[in-house]
Amino acid sequence: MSGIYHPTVASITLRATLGRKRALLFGLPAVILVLVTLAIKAAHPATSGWVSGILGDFGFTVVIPLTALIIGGSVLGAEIDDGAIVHLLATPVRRSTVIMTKFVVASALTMLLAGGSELVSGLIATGGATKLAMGLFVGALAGSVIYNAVFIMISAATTRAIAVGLLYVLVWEGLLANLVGGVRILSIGHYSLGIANAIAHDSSLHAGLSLTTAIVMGAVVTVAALGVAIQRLASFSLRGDAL
Amino acid sequence: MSADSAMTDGAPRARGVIHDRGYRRYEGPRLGRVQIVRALMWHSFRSALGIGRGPKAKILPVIAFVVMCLPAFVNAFAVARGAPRIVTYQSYLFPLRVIVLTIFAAVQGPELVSRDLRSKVLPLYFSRPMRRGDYPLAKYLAFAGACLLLVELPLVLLYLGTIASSHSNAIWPNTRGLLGGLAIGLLWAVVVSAIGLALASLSPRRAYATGVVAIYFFLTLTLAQIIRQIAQQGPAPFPPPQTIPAGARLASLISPFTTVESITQWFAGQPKRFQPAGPVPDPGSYLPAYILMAVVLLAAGFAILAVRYRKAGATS
Repeated sequence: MSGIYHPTVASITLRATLGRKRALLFGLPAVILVLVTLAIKAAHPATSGWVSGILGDFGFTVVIPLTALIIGGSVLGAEIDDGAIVHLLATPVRRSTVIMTKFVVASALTMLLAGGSELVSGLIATGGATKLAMGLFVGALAGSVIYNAVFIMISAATTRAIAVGLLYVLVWEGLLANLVGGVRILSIGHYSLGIANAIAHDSSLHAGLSLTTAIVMGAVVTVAALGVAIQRLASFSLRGDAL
Repeated sequence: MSADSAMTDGAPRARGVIHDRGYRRYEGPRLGRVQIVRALMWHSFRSALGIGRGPKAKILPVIAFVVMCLPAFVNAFAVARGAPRIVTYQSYLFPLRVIVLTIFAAVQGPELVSRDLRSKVLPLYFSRPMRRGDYPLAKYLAFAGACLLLVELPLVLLYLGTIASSHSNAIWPNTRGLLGGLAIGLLWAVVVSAIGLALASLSPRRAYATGVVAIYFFLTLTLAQIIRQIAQQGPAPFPPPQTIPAGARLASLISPFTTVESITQWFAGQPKRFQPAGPVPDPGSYLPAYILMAVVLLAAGFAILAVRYRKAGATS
């Protein structure tokens, strides 16, 4: 099988990722997003501006990146961490196939959890399939894909994927992208917001990028990240734990 | 070899005999529990800062300290040029402190506890005259010490820089500010390290421990800030205190960072001459709720650690 998707690798990854207690951790941000939405909805705020605050700001800068970080960082990172990756690399599966399969699995899981909770929260918050809810859902799906590509790249390139990814999410996405305008063009959170805004047309989302820019840059980042990840895995050598 | 010779010497009943092979015994003083805890604490404190470890382990602590101290140096230059002090003692730079502490706790906390769980060395620790509670106590004191250093060192540098480069003679107000800042910094370190270390100890895998700590700190912080903004109707800077709705005053309870910062804001007092707006509103009459929350966080951290290490090592 020489395609980009290998079903056996996918099923092993899925089982290794979801088969443990830590799977609860993946769903935690998603569950919190829904609960918070329910709580605020129950409190009947005066204006509807809160929807983009919770679903846009909180959802796109915290829930999606953190869910993607833990999932994307562990589909490949966990195997590298405990050395099981050598068994996979010893099989005649192309390394690009390994990366692509893991990317597909991680993206699908993140879409399901983070995207799903954005959708549910959006439906609850706006009271139906409104443009805002749909826009946020589509933006969340796009964000899940791009974030996972980056986190898989990070876990192929470093031994401490979660720590590096966390640094990136907190400092780059959380701090710089909102303070320094120019960083937006390299911020996945803003790509997702740009895509969401193209459907929702809601100024309270504070989307800084147009749809075309967001899609083009998002695609470029995804492809580049996956390319680097394949490159790194192709020249992979097992290193010990960082002391 | 010696067992074989014992058998062939015609004494089959003397099985399992321990032969004195003449090795030298240790006859010096045996240090007790206190010294073990102290040694473990010192070792953990050093490893939290990356001292005595490889160069890779030093990267993050060094970056954290440099970034944290940077505003103090910038401030010294600004003051030397005649500007007023630009960083406060009470909050330092809240967003910076929060981000650095989150990352430090998420990366260095698991460094202290997850590795021992992962490599299953806890039975070795507990085979010494050390009680179950001593291990988490030593780790906590070490981690709290490291966080304390990270919070307080920039304040001291800020103080020294301000004093040294100030043209006006303002030693006393600065000293008073510093003492207040150091006291509140202690609260930061004690609370953040308790909850951070407790969460880190939940997973023997460093990556997931980091994830748990990061999710908790980052998620609650963002949530607290967004809910406060919603309660205030918009991300505008704070209106005068009397118009802050109760929801905005209570929203800061969600995150440990904003909880501590709210207590700071209350103690900082109403007239804010230096600061147009704090990072969180003054809790006003809700102060008891915040103090209770800080105590609850601290107690929860200790309780999780105590429960975790009652059986840890025996199971996972």
